[in-house]
Amino acid sequence: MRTHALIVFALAAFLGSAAHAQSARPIAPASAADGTQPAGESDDDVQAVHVVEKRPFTEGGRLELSLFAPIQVNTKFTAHIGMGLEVAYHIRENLAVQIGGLWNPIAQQSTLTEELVNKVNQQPLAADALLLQAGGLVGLELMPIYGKLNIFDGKILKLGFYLNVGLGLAKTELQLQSSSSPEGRTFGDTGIRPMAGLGAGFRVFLTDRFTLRLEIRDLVYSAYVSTVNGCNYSDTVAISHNGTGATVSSSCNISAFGSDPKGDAAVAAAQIQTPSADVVNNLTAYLGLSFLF
Amino acid sequence: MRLQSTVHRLPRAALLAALALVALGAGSAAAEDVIYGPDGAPTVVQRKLYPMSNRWELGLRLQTSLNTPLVVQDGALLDLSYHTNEWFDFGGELFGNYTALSNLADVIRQKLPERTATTPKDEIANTDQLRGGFLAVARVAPIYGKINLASEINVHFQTYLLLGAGVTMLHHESVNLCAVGGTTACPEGDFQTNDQITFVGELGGGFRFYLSEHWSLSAEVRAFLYPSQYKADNDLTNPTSGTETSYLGSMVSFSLGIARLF
Repeated sequence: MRTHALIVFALAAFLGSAAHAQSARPIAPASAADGTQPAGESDDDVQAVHVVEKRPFTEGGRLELSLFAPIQVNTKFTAHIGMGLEVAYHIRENLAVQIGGLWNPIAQQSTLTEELVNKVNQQPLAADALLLQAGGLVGLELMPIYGKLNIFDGKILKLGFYLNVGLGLAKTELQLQSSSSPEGRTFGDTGIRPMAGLGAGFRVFLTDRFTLRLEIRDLVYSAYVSTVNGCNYSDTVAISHNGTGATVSSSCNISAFGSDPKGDAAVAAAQIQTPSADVVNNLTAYLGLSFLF
Repeated sequence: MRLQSTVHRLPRAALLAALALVALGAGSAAAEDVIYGPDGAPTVVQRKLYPMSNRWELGLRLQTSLNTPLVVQDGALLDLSYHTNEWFDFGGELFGNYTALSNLADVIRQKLPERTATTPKDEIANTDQLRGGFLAVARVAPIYGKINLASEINVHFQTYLLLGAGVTMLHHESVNLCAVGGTTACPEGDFQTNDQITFVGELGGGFRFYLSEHWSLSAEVRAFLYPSQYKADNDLTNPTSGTETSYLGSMVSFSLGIARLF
């Protein structure tokens, strides 16, 4: 009786495995037509069975801390390289809430943009060249697909594919002078914009605590720029003509344009003359390492 | 002692099933370790459903350029390779692209400043068009895996890196240098061009998703690298002026493909 109970229990576990990430497959050709191996068959057949591999650990109910190195992929007019930190709480095995921040120490015009400035005296509109200095997102992550991989037929690792979505804020700026200008690159603050993020990626579980993550995330933020360093178009035109002696609105910070503000203000004026209602799509690859508590 | 005697009386099938349960329960303690069962086989599924050794592969890919905003490059790539073992194959590739300057390049041309001899200007770089080529390629596929869609459908996949070298046909059409002298705006179709056949290298990586024993789909990113030049310090009114400056050109492409294994 006890033997039968064990077998039935094992079989139930076997069949119930559909709820888990893996399914059973025989290593050698099995006699069963469906490829599975009932536990009650002859010893020779049973020896070939490779058991259902249950997920060896769960993320459910655990905190995850991730450190990322985000790099912009669509570097048409802008280039971003930064670092990011994210904390996620896995409500369930496949669902998590997350909050994360991003800081781009390198947020500048692309090589093409600088070429256009230097070689043909052209530059993209502010809507195309708005830089993401920093940002933060709060959102959800869904990980519907699990799997595993092996490396050179050796080490076996678990992996999961996920999607995430988030809302937050972006700190933006505009580059006013290129790297070849006498002062080098200069920037103007364009304020904080609403931002959304939509990502897809996968994590490889190196151990039950460390995971390697690779993700592509589309950071979408408003490209509407009407002020630079708090100065509107009229202010920037006035500064470009009169320098520090210009009469400007109270929110305008002339000193932020530097000691000789005329050049930067002229560039700013050109960029905000016709504000755009477009959004910027900053497609970023996130490579990261995370720790599960 | 009583437990031991009970275990000895169990049929071997029941013993294996019990061990399987134990393995299931104990799995969390050793996530990545391979545990060997009583038959000497590992208790995890390691078998490759789709072996690759000693097989030929014929593939067709459609590709598009990702990193050349001034140039449109879309095309197809045909490859034939032989898999010497599970993780290595080598072969040849032939590709052809439809190429043209992009809308952005046209906009730049429309707004070009007046041509003067006073201020020398450099040519805008990265406007090469890879029209075709042939490469010898080697691929290493260190990772084989399986994902489970909705707990029902198993998808086997492989990731690979590739390295190749060959020759390519390059067409170069300048965005801002006119082939006609003078100070007037450059007539349409009269910008400087040249064609050459040059060496090209490539490196990349991708995923192969198996549909069956013979068919697979793949997605990959690869970079074509080639020697290129732009002209610096040009007198915009004189097409023969300027000095050639060399740099490493690149075209990064994304491609989707289908392959047949023989």
